Amino acid sequence: MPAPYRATDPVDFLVVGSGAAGGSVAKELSQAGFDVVVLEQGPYLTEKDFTHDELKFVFQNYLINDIRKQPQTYRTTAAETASRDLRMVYGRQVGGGTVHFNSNYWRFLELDFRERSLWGGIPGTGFSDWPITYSDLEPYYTKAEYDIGVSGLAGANPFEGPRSQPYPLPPMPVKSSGVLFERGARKLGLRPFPAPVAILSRDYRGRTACKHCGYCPRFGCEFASKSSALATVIRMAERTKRCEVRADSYVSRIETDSQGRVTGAAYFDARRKERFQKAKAVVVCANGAETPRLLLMSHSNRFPHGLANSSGLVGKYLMYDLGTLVSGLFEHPLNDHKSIDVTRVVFDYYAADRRRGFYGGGGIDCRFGSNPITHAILGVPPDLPQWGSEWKGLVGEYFTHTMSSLAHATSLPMESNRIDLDPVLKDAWGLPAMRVTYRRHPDDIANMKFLLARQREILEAAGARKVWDLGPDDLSYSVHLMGTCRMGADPAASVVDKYHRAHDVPNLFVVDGSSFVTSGRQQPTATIQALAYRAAAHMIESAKRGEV
Amino acid sequence: MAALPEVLAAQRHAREAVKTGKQPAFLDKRAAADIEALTSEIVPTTGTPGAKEAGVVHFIDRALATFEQDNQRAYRDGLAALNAKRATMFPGSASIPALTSQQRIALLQSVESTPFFALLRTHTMMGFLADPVYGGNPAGGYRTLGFQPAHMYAPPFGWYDDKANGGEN
Repeated sequence: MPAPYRATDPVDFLVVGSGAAGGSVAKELSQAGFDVVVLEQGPYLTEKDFTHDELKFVFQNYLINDIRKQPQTYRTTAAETASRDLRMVYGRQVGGGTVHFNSNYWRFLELDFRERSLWGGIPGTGFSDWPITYSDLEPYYTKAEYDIGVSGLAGANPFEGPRSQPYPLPPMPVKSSGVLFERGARKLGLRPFPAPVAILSRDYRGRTACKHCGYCPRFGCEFASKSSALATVIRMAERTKRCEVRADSYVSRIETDSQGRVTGAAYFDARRKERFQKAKAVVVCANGAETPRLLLMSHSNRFPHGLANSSGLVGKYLMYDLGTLVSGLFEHPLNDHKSIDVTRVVFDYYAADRRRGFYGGGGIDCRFGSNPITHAILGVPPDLPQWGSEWKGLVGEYFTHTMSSLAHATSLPMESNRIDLDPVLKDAWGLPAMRVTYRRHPDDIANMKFLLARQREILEAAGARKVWDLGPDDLSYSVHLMGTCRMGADPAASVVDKYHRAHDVPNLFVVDGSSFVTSGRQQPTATIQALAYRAAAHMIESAKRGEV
Repeated sequence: MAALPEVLAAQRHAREAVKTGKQPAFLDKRAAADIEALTSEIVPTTGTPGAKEAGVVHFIDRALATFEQDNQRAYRDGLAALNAKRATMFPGSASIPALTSQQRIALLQSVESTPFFALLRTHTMMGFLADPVYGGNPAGGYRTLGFQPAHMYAPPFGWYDDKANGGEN
């Protein structure tokens, strides 16, 4: 740990948030010789804090935002009054959501960056091309994969764009769910491939290979085998002695001077005492929900509608984590609670296809995703007994003989879907609560129904004795927070430029899921991290030229 | 795993609590007896341990006194409503524990779609499988599920990946 920076001395860069984006930016900037302070609202947990206590990590949401302290409100359209609900879920500790993520690490395809050109406009949406292409981002996907350690098989995904390097690590061992999924998919003429995951299949750069404990999703990795920002870029940043990660530091406001430049950020420390850190530049990486909230809270005389919001688009075009889950029961034991969640995926339905009659597509995976308590509550299909001796006779078979498939679906960007500030409700620090306005586009729903049918086909082709799903209508919370500060060339139609610099404020950068123009097929972490590496490279060049 | 010795110690502690018949802290005697009788129908004792052997009532008692305080009222009201229903369904019955198992199942079936039943069921599953530090006792629950609590595995993991991972199937 370096000596703490003094609040009154402006650091070169102040980074808000320490997840896939903030951690990577901090690592790149500090390695380039800049002084960096990272403000993270959550605590600084480490491997010793990561147990397999399902009650704590799953049911008491130990690693995510707590709506008792940070309430949210939700409505489907602006005509309604929003009521209290949890909709935006994010990792709230050093390392952010990468601490508890499943570790799926999908690059976007080339088509993801130019779907508006490929498909055409979609009425009622802000469906647009990105201002960058896959080839602009490719070197940074590679850099991220090598920095953190990603396991996969180059060339196995027939739809992937060109890659400059293979994965640094071979794929993880296939699980029974992967074998069955591959069998079913191949019978249907599809091309399944080993899932790319940010988990170590071998020892890598001083970290140990995965021990297959089965506690990836919603848990932290006690072995540091999960390539979270915490286990990788945060520690690399700290080793430079030029980066201080200040946990329990909840930013309430970014300040600007009379020239319209940012001067630093006000934040609450662990004792809820207000502090201020001066900085020459600020990089907001607070996630697709908290980033727009912070910019909106940072309004001033000069920026009456929120910082960097001359376009009026801060918070708008929120895209949601849409997914469909199908499960199947098989003859022999899978024991799929062991090891990582996902070992095989299929991208054959990834691209949109006019013949389907709607815009949309998805990547389909196979997984189990349940721990013992979760399975006891939810694991037996709803048409069978849910308690009593019959349930007890079934629950074990369903625990050991079941697998699921999750499809990761497109979410169209609509201006009416947004994050803003609730006019009434405050959080425990007295700051305006986040208000979420969201409803799905009809094509999103048609796409989910389509994907559900494809998933059922795969599990049936794999030989499942029973296949069940809960339909496409279970719209609950979102863990992939995208849109809300979209990137683009036109300052009237976007919040940041193609290097993530705010159009309105020369020394303010915004990089995280909020930068996304379209949703891809979810699994945004690899792209968030690649964008952060690319943005940091630009910040370094600009700062060296004196242009920040 | 670094936490293993602590977990083992806590598990021993919970087993002792079940064996010695520790008195509940939040629930009164009648409520505790009702909950034990009801949760023993939700996860009955069969060839393997059920909610009773797992000490689910101790888990719920501790939960309501600590991290589930918000649900104290739901339990008070829920048990009162269930006892009222019992009196209607089984006139002259003295208490929930005094009903036959069949009668208790019928009573629970009549409230299956209520929020209180969902809460009771969730808490039962938690007590059956939660870490001993919460008063849970997962050993029997793990057996029912076929969960092997090794917390570290090596491939092959199941029947279907045996061949892919070097086995015979």
